[in-house]
Amino acid sequence: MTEISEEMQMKIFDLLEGNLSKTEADQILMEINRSDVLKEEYQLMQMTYLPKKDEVALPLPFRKSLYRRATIIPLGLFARAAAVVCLIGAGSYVFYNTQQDQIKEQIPKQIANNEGVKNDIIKPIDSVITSDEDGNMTKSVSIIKSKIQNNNPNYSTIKRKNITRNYNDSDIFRNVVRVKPNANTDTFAPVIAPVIAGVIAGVDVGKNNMATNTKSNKRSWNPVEVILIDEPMRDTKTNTNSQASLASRFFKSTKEHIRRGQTPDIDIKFNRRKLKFDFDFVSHL
Amino acid sequence: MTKAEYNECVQLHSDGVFRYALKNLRDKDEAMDIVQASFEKLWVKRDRVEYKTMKSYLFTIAHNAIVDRWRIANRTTEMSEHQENLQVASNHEYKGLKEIIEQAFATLPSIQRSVIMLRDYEGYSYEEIGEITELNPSQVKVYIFRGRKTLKQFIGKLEALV
Repeated sequence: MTEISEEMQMKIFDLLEGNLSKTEADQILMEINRSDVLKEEYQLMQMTYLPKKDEVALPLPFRKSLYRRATIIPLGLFARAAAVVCLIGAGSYVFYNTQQDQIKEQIPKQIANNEGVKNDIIKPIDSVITSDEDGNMTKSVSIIKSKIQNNNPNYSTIKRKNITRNYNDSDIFRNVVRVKPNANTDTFAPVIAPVIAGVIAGVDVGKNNMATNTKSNKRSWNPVEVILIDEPMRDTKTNTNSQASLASRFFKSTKEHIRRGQTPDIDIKFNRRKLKFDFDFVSHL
Repeated sequence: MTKAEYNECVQLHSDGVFRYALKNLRDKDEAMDIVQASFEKLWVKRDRVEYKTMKSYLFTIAHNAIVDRWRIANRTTEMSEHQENLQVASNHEYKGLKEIIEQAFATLPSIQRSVIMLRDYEGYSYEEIGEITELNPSQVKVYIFRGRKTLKQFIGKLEALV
């Protein structure tokens, strides 16, 4: 085998590497074509080039481990618990509101359709009992006075309405709003009026005997005159009683007043600090 | 370099880095270690690396890691191994051009293997190979030439035998 000079080997190498200009490349190629030895050298040198496509590849699991993915915070136990609480809360809210709406719809109907007492009239009177008439009260207690007059001698049929049985104490005061305060009363009156209304709503009044508003002459509950007197809260036995028992005693006393032909003269008191209601019958049996 | 660009880099070049490490070290586990370490370093320094240069940067990291392994190994052993490999390889029966080249390629000195791989597989210029391997372009060219010459001689011998 004829030895090829180092220079010629380098030229063939440059040719294959693409380091030569077109003229130089053509010149070398002509030389190669003229000689079998150079042709063989050229072919051998060509074989030393590694194929671009090689089957070497990383194992897939390992390759996947190299990627950087977005951080995903797993939904932990706390997050799940919070989600459940939110769902329950939302469900309860909807359920509660539905119930409240139903109660509000039912009460007026039940009151309007109540035919338990046909001949009784309980309506708030137009006259106002002012603080002057209750001189024995002290000035720093919130006292609301209302007066209920029974014009019907058939007092014995007055009884407590059954509708209140289905609701708890707070519902009586919150939802059974049937009495509006007079516009010229104290600003506190609108707040306390529902309480009075709740108490009155407990009294069974017939549909046909519903009190008439004397001013508008419309068939509705009359406004109850309420007078707020700032007097210290008296320490009465009823202070600590529940609203249910308060209402119960109210009806019992009212009934007794009416039975005796007396007008019940009632002080309804509100303890602002304790947010409690109380009442006293000013008129004595 | 963003996370997406980094992931693209993994997609495009992880196999190349692995091949480069595997053919230099001839050990799959060590090659995977090199790949892992290279991409780890690339991720850590991703803020300083631009998208255009990420491939070179990656191969530079890989090459340096490979060189570190070479330094640990005994160079004299490598040289004697090279001679042995040549003799063993020449005794093998003819299988195919690809296998012959791979056999011969495995016998080359490490630096020649590296530059030839970077040239053939990755298509780098002498200058780019020089940056990766910390050699000047002339040295790169010489190493490539010497490597090819050795391979050519090996192939020529086998052809003569056949």
